[in-house]
Amino acid sequence: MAEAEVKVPSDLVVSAVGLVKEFRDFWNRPKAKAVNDLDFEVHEGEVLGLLGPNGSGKSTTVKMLLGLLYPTGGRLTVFGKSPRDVDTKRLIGYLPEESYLYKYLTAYETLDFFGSLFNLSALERRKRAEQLLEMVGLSHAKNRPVGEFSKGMTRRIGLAQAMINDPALLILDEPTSGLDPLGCREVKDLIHLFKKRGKTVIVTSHLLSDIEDVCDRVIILYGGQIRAQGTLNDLLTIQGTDRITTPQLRPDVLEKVLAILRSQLSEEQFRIDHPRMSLEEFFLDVVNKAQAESVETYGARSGGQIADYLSNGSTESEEELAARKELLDSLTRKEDKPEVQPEPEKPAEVIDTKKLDGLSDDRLKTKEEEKPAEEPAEDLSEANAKLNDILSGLDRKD
Amino acid sequence: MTPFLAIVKLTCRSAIRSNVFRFLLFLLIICVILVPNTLKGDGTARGYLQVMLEYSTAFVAVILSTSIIWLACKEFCTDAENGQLHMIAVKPISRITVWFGKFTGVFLIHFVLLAISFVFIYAFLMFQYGRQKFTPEERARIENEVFVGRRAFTPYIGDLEKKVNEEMARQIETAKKIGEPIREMNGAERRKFIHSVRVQILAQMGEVQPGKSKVWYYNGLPESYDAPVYIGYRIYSGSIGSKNQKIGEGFWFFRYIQKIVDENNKDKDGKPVVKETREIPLQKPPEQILTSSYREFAVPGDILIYKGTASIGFANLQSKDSEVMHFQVTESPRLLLKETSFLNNYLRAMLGIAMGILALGLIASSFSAFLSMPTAVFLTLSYLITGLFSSYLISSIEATGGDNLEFLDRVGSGLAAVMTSLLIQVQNFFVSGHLATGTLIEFSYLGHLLFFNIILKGLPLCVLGIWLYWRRELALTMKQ
Repeated sequence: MAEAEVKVPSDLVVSAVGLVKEFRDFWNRPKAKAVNDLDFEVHEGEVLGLLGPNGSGKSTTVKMLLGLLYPTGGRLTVFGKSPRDVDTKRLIGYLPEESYLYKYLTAYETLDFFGSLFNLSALERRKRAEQLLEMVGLSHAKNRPVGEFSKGMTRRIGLAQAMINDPALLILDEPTSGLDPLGCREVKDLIHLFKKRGKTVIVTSHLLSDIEDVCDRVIILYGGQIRAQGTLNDLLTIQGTDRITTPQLRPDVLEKVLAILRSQLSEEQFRIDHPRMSLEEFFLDVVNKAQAESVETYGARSGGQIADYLSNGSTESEEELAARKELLDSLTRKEDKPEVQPEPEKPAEVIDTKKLDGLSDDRLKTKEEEKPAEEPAEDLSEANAKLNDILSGLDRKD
Repeated sequence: MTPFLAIVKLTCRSAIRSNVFRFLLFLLIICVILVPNTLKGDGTARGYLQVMLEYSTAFVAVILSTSIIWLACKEFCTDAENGQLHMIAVKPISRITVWFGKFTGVFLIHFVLLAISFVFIYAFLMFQYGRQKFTPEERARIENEVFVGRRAFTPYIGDLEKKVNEEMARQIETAKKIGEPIREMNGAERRKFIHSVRVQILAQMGEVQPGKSKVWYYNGLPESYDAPVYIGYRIYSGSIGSKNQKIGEGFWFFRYIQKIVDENNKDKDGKPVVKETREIPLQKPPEQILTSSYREFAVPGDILIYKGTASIGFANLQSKDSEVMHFQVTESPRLLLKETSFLNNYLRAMLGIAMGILALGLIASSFSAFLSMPTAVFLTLSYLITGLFSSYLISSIEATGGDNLEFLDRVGSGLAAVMTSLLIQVQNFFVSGHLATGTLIEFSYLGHLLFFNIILKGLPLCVLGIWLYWRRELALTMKQ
């Protein structure tokens, strides 16, 4: 049966109602209730993160979604059908926590084998395998047995096999486990790509930063039950606080800002420091430079172009295409990312000091008619807007 | 079909790339090359080739049997225990297809190895036959007794059950006449009594007292047969099954029905019509016969066979105080008629062994579909051993049958009977012995094995294995 023949009933991809999984011993006595009365839904195009400490029921839930475990109670459907339904599995891609691959198969044979299970033609399998190997940076190792791979390389090939069918639902169990920061970034970028293409992704991870970077919504499990769920904005925004980020300010400008803040807040209520690059950003910068200098490696390389079949068929606008191009550029690492540049060339020109002077002189009144002489960068505009909001608020208090 | 073939291919790859399988393959090569080169046989040309043929094919069968059990258990169990099966189970392929794909892969690779080994053995056998300096007589004997597929006909024993019942009735009548008390027999006692009467009747049919002769009749032979008919026999001295080798003396005689034809009267085929027939006894010269050893001699078919029947006899020329000579009439003297070529029979033997390997693969795959590897291997071997010995157990219990063990005998015999009816007796598939003696491996025999062993006994086990494989919660099977 071809992939296109499976009908997806609605935008509801996963539905769990009163889901229970109880493990029993040989004598059928209850041993542990891994999942206890879970209710959740996953909709099309959503990136859902499943969070929780060890033993919270994340993996059990995922295994039930895949039909590897059977629910003891409740109802679970994937694309409106039982998770054990064979045809439903045409729409699913799965990356397990450990890459349970056949060690005696080469990378290419692995992808060819999994492609065969989706009834893909030999030509299509070859095409997809080549593209996926290129995408995960393993085309140079395609004839090496998977058993010889490092953990990171195995994860990459595991990720590639999960995408061989261009799944509508991608389930990733600890996707960044064992990957270097370069690989982590690529995985996250891939998840973003999937999201842009309207695919649904379920991610479980212990690395909260991973979840934070890619997920629209998270479910936090503890003791087999949902303790919190919602969008990241809902869950993570600290109400009643603001953050302003600017290029490095001249001392006199900084003094003026401090004067304004001191006039409104006590010393403990605000903080000024120098933003730091994240270690991930710094690492990526170093690796990109090494790659630019063509340093040889036998390990995984940074991923190449996104497989054609994963790109085709998406209804992207011009802007989205441009964004994808940008993503491709970032994956191929042919040029430095703007965010890793530590210092803008002309920071002083971005902030209009006269504006601040004016604000200070006019008792913190907003002068909307005074626009900056030059168009600021995107993040700085946001910073200014935030600043204006804060200042306006202060004005009103006065 | 693509997913099924992918699983088959994966299984073959798994086998070829595994070290244990490579070791078994090495053993196979060693056995195919070394065994024929190290065997000496019984000193005769025929014996040399017979031993080479039997041992080489039997060794190949044993190695492939071991290999298929190991590979089937490995493919099913380790895949589930190491988690690789998870990766397959989340893809759009039913577990039933996975089971059949793995089983087909496991069987296919062994079938290919069996075919290669058999080709090699055949080539080597023909090479040795062509190379050795055998005399024309030896060559003729080899071609008539080894390199041939001969159908065996055993003496007509009539309705044995009827004879057993008649004999029982006669014994009871005799006991009544002499006033001996007749006690009621329970089931086991009655079965034992019937068995002893049956053995007694068969022994009488094959018994040749010193100074006496015995004649046996054969039915179902071809209407006309011109080629030589081989008479194969093994004589026991003193009692049936005795392994003591002694020199006895006797001679064979045959019924020859001479046809007197009318040359002036021809049938529609232009052949003269048989006017009358005359029965003439023919005999071979007396000869010294080594007991407990198998021997053959030839008689022209057109002399021995008349209208699909034949009659032969044996006269015991030993003095009256000598031991009785016995034939096991269910086996000998038997008439061996050439039915097909050696190559044809050889391929039939290969088919039989392939079916045996298939049965073993089926048993191992069924157990390993829902058990861990050590348990599956253990159960498969237990199954084989129980199947192998259950029939021996029944006969040995019935043969010994002491009063003190009556209850245990009954339990043991009952259990063995149940096991015999439930379990596949894989040893019946390995027909190297038949092949080496030039005995035709009948398609009816292979069909019987296929239907009663593989389909009737193997299929339920297979269905159970597949059902449990399909039901299994795979995430629970993985080794942590």
